[in-house]
Amino acid sequence: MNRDSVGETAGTDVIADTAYTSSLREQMLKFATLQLTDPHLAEDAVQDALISAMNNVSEFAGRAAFKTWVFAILKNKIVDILRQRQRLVYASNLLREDEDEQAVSELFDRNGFWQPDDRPLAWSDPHQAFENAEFWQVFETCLENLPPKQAQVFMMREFVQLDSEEICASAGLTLSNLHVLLHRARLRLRDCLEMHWFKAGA
Amino acid sequence: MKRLLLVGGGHAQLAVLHDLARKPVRELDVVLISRNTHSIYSGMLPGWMAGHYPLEACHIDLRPLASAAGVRLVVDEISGMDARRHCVVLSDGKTAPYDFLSLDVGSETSSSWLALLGDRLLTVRPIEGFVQRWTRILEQARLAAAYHLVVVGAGAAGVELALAAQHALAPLGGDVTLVAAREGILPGHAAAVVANVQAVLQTRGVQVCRGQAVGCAEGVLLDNGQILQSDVVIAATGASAPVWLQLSHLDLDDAGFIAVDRFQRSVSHPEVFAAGDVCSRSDVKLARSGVHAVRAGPVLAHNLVASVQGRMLKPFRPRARSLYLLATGPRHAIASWGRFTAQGEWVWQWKDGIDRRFMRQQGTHNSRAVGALRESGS
Repeated sequence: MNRDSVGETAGTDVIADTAYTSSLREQMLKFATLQLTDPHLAEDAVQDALISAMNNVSEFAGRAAFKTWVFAILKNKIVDILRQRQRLVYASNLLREDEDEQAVSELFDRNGFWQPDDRPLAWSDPHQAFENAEFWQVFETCLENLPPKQAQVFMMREFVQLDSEEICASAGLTLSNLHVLLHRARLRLRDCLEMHWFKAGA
Repeated sequence: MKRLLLVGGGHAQLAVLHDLARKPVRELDVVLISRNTHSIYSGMLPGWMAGHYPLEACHIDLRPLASAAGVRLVVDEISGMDARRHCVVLSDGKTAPYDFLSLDVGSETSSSWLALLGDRLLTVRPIEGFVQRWTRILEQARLAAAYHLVVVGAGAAGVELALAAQHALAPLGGDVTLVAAREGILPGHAAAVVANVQAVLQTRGVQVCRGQAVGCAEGVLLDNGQILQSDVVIAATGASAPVWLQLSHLDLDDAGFIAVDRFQRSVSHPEVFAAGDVCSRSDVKLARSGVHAVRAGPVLAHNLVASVQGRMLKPFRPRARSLYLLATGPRHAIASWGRFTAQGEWVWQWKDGIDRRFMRQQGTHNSRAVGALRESGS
């Protein structure tokens, strides 16, 4: 196979640029912490994603491609961690003998089993979003200004595309609470984006 | 009366049922908990996908086997266990206590790189789910103008799946891409085997890519920036342990599998035994392969009964080299045994013969005709 020497240099350059990688790391950490709500778990996921990305970076040309790559790894890891954690919570609830019967059966009903047909298909269009660095910055700022719980469920729904039951189980919410939080998050985000991006860009 | 709980109807557990059918143990209440009334024999899965076998041919009916062994069959799924309390928990929260436990529940497919794919991800384990989905995939492919299937992971399982999928999809206008690690296909197999398989992949029209794959909106993103558009992605990316083991209080290895000694016995809880993909030996490194699971079966069977009766346990000594017979789509297969390799229709006949013999032995629940299982190979 032919080696793309230009791509190799570019990929290595990205890693060599410590200022860039540390800023990327910070963005990833923010993203992961919001999703997982556990700083240690987030740190692990980011570390994992970065190490795997760097081991495989040789053929990437430029920062945009590298960022797409690391975030793709991170998102997959986050979805996996959330699913595993949910199953762990489920198992540990079942195992707890002293828990009253009703709570256990309720949890089971709420979680049920994964319905493959209900699962959302895929991400909306992450590549395009990543390409537009400025929009991303504005969006992140807006997201940061959301109350933490709203930001968390919004990200779980819109970015990780978990279904409501999974989000409820992970975040310890009832379905109606979730809907209220999502609604509020969307309103706030819309306001914020209108104020800082769409108006400014128009 | 002591209770022996058998969880999972994997290849090793079948040997336990046969053993109990042959030599019933008085004063032992034996219960088998299995997700299904049938177990699927993984060795014949590629042949089924390629259309050489009906699904029933790969089914091992646990009911007659259990009844011959005097074992009660409970069709249910395990959601957890607590080794300190000597019980497993079923999907409805009910607990089942045991004095001795034998776990052969298999593994799950590790999908931390592909979890984003959601619906379009098809994992090889659990095998029952795979079988259901595959039938639907064929229907989808039949209706679609073009259908792109990507197999991630190019060990023996991934290679066989890709070739079987190609054989089934090509007539429907679908195509198959196999993603191998940077080191290439079939890590751990001899160069001659790899060369043979590579040539066959090329002849059959399976495209092979190298590199790390990660799930993305379009399908699979490779570490060289290439995107593989995929309607479905089959993950053959190695095994991960059932997550509930983390709460079991059993000693686990670094990857979360049950740590067992040479007797297939938990290193932390001597009344717990495990075999097949769910465990890993603390003394030797073993590939997760049905070959070892089948061979460990008779030892597991002996050790369970010996534990109950306070007799000596037998160690399981895995063979250093395993014979792999890789189905390549049509009635053709490639053999890999150490540095030896061979291919042809006769290798398929050989594999087919071994697999059918294994299935026949599973069918013979007559208590006098089962000893042959011990010599079974595939």
